[in-house]
Amino acid sequence: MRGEAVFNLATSRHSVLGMSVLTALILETAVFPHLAVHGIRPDLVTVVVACWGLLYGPREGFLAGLGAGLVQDLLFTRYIGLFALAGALAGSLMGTVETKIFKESVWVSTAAVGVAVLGHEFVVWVLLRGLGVPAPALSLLTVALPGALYSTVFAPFVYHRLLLFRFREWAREREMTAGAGQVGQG
Amino acid sequence: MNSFGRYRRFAAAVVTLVVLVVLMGVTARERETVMLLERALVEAAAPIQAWFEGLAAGIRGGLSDIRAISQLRRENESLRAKAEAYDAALRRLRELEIENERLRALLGFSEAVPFDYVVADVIARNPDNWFSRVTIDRGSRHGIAKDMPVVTSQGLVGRVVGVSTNVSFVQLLTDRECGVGALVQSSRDAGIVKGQGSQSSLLRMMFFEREAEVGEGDALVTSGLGEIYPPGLYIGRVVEVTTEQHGLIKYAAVRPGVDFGSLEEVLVIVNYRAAGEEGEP
Repeated sequence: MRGEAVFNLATSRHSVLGMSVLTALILETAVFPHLAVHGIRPDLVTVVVACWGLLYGPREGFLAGLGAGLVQDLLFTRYIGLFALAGALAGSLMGTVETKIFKESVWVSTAAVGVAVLGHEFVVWVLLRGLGVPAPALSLLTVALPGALYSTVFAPFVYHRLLLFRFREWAREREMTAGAGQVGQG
Repeated sequence: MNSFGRYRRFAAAVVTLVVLVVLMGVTARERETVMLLERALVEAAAPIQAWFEGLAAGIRGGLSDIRAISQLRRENESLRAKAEAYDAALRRLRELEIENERLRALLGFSEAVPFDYVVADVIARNPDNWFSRVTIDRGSRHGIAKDMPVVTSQGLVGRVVGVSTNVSFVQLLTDRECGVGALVQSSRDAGIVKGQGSQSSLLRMMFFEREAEVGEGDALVTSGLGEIYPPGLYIGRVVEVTTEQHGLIKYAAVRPGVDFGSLEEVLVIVNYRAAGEEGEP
């Protein structure tokens, strides 16, 4: 019975992640190109991955980044693995600070997400250089930094939604633990 | 969690990252077709992307319609005047065309092969800030193949870099990896036009000759030397000419003819290489 409840919890969690990444990808490909400022668009997928890592830890962050990045690579990129690798690193990086920051604060978390997106862009830049794509050091200032700043604008909204979901999960986990305790006592 | 479990997870993560690096290296090579998994995902996502792109285009169109009403009245009047002038020019051009045909026949020139186009809608743009690619709703089923040139009435857009059954990927001129052989239309000086990424609206032309005759406002067209793009396709206009610090290489900043931000419909030239091959001895 308890195993089934845990399974349902994990399924609903991964459905939320899947829907969030899908929504982010659709917005990025169909809507955000028209909201570009000097050609720079927000990277909502990485924002979702970073928020996820922050709320669920390094393993979940790694897998979320890997999955979301792989979908992005397969759909849009010539170099398969580029955004999967950068996403996995950004997600797990955020997961490692999960217990170290006050994650109930949307603003502290927003700042952390901003750093993660910048880290993601830096990894992409390094990989592009490795692959021989012309990406001069200046593009860190003209692409990576403004891209991370623009993305961070969306972080409070994304984080707030996911935090509410996480609160509900915590409440359900607590109910289940309490229920299991009572069964044990009985 | 015990240390063995932690070690196992860390090892799995490292192995995954190594696999991704290898995969990246393998897929970095020019590929004729997309992989099976890519194809499945792209084909499944295409209708959703097309729907959202249509929705976004509808909203954008509605907003710009409202803004444009007062402008349209003024433009209408000036366009009427221009249309009359064009009518006169058209009649004169028709005369020249007939004369041209007659002279070609006289000299034995063969007729230039007209291009066959496939019209395609842009259904998605790449989500990142590093590449400039769009997805179009036509694929191998519609006669699209890799390296086919893509244009609009405004000029050259780019080339097809990946093809699935019903969907293709187009690398735009603004992409960092894009390079096109180009000529200054007036002086015929040659060079290569390269993209600078989506954050720059300008292209950059590097001239082969330091003494190239080029000035602000000069039109650039494709040279046809790379064999991907046919010669004579309009690329854009020069907005600034610079010479490298040591004076060895001349560059020009080029404003492309195509507005890549509002790209909705494109034409894929499907018979350029086939036509070229027929003409070869």
